[in-house]
Amino acid sequence: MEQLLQQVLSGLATGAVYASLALALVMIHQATESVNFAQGEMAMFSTYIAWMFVQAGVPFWIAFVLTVAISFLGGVLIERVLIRPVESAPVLSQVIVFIGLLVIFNSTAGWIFTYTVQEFPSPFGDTPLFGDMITSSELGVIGVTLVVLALLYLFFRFTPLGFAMRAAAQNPESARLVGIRVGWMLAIGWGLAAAVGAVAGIMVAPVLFLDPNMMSGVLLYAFAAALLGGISSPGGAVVGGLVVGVLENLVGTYLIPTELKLTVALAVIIIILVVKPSGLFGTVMVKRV
Amino acid sequence: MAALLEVSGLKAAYGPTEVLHGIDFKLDEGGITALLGANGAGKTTTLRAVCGTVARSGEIRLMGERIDHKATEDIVRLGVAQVPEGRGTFVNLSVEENLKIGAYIRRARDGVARDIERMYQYFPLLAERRRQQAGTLSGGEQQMLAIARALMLRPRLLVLDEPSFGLAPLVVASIFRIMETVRREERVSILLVEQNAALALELADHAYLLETGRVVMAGTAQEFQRNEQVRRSYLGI
Amino acid sequence: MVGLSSDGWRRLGVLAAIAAALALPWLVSNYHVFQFTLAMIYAIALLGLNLLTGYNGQISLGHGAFFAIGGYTAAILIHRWGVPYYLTIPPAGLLSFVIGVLFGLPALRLEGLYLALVTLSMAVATPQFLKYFDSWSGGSQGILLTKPAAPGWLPVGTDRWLYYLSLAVLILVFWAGRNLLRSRTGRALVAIRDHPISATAMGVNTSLYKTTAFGVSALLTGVAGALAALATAFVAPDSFSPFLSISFIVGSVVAASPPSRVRSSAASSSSSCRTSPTKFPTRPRGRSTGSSCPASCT
Repeated sequence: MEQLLQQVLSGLATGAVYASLALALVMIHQATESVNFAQGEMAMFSTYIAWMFVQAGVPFWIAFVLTVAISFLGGVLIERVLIRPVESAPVLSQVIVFIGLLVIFNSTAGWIFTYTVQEFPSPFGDTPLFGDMITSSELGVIGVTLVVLALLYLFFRFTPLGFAMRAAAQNPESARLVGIRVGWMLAIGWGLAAAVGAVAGIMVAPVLFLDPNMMSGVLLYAFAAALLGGISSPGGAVVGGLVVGVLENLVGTYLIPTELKLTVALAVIIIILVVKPSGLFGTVMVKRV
Repeated sequence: MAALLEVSGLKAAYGPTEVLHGIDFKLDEGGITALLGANGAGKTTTLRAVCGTVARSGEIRLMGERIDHKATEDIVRLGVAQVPEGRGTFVNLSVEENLKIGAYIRRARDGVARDIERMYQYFPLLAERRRQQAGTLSGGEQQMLAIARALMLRPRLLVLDEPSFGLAPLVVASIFRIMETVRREERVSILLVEQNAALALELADHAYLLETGRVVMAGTAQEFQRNEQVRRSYLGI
Repeated sequence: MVGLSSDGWRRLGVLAAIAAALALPWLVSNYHVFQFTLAMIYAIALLGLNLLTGYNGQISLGHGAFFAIGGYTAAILIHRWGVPYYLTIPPAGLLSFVIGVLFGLPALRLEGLYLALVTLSMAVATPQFLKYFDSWSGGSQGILLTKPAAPGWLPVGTDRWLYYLSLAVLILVFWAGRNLLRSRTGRALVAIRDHPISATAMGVNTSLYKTTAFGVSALLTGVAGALAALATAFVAPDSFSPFLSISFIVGSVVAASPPSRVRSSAASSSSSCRTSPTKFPTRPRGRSTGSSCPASCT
């Protein structure tokens, strides 16, 4: 029983990372109706930037803040330069652009930073807490994620800019008619998603170790989590992420050895989707002819 | 009275298909002008051209300033508010949030709350439903909400695209009555597109008749109402 | 030459291309022949993918899995049971077909993003499965084969023989595919892609066509995989990483987007009820009383 609780809590920690990335995916999806397959690689690249700061002697939390800010700007830039031209293109073209970004970020990181696996420092240490129930790093990850999610929620719910962004994502045409600069709203959305991704990457790097392929598994889980929670629901994405994290851990511990863990967890998620296509919290899309 | 809106040689196209073949019309300050015509005549396209949401060429002057190459968001900031066809409500926001977002570009925050109350006075039905999700409102209520949202901008020019579409006659009549009051009290000029010619001519002072992308008749509303051809083809009298 | 119609020119062009292709192995080095062979094999795989994604609108980010299935089928048949290499290609195709159909069935319930996720999972799962079932697959080490020699009656080296074999398969597949797409079946596939609801209303058995399309697409990619195994004489799990599936989809889009004027509007209208994410519709679409979407939309 104790081991079960331990595994659940540990799963919540990785789940928090999946939740963050899933939230980034949902944010972009709400604005563009496609999934940014490059989100994981962007997060990985951000993590490398943080790593460079730390290697240069910058204190961890300052490096964290700097990286998040740089990632935000990077996200805005990518939207304005690369995504805007394909805004009204068919879905497949957008998917290709995202996949292109994925390949570019991955290869560039490999080229600049090599494929050697690096260690990434955790600011929380590794002390077991509450009688070995949870480690300090796991608790730290959950804590940071909660803070980031809370800030995002407050931003979207209570600030005029967040309000305008919600309106622009829901109904871009009407948003234009009330004077909202929809293009810039999208860009800020991308910036925020990139920033959230950076947080996810930095949180998970101490556990997965830093290399250019670090985030591919995470992205897949995040994608599954976003769909599980209902691609239209940010709250669902968070819950989905946590569920996937716990599920992965339990499957890995009790059912299948590590090599097939990813596959089995995905299989479970896919079965859920086949049974309930709109996910746990998503709204059912009615197709009008 | 100075012309608030002056349009000359306006052409518009959807992709390769040209839909407006050179339209001239004007709207005086404080006036109501109706664009009439059958389905497909180009009325909605004209409104879209004015607001910058369709590819267009030609001259469009708002208070003397050319706006024909400006983006929609900038035209809105010059005081043009459009009530689009299909209402364009933010269905997942509440009624009050829809009104608030209508005032998004206004700098002075304090006037907004007062304006919201004034909207509720024009449209008491909306006041009853202020916290309700806009998507659950009836067609008539959504039309009122769309008009109110546009008015939150404190526009100089209010552009209405087929406000009567899909609504019951009683609802339409009350909306048109409110619009007359609004025009007086808000001192806003109105450009109106309507398929229901009879209603439009009751409200408007000037009208233009469009047929397949061209203006075929222009004059005061009374002239239209007295014209034999118009009476036969568009008023069913 | 003046009296030739455009169709005649096209036929002449095709014949010229085939002649050039036949002559090529004698003009370049063995290594280049090998590269051209691989290029043709990838073309076969891309034809398969294009049938599914381009013409039928079902996105697949996991076709590397079928490539692997074909390759490993051929490799295991040769390695374990000494089956002659040319007899391994049909079973590779057949097994890929069956698995493709099995995947096509749940795919009926999924579309767009969901299908993308499922197929991406396939791509990720493939190397893992291959490493796990190592008694069959040889694990991470893979399976080593010997390149097949040319038959006695054709006096060419191994590389050239494989080139001609692949060329023959490519021409066959291309010709068969072209005929298929011009037939009723082809039109049905495109109709399903452009507007599935209308297609069903017209009496097209959407489910049957979609699953078959998955199967045939898998078959072609599986055959390509088998040829690749023969040409490179080696299969290993890491050759079939998710990046392979990604390169397939990129290649299929870059090289072979089927022409369709209605594709952009159809793609956006058939995937969600919101007709176009940003710009105004090209023609005023059917109005609704509330807004352009029912309240239950995203």
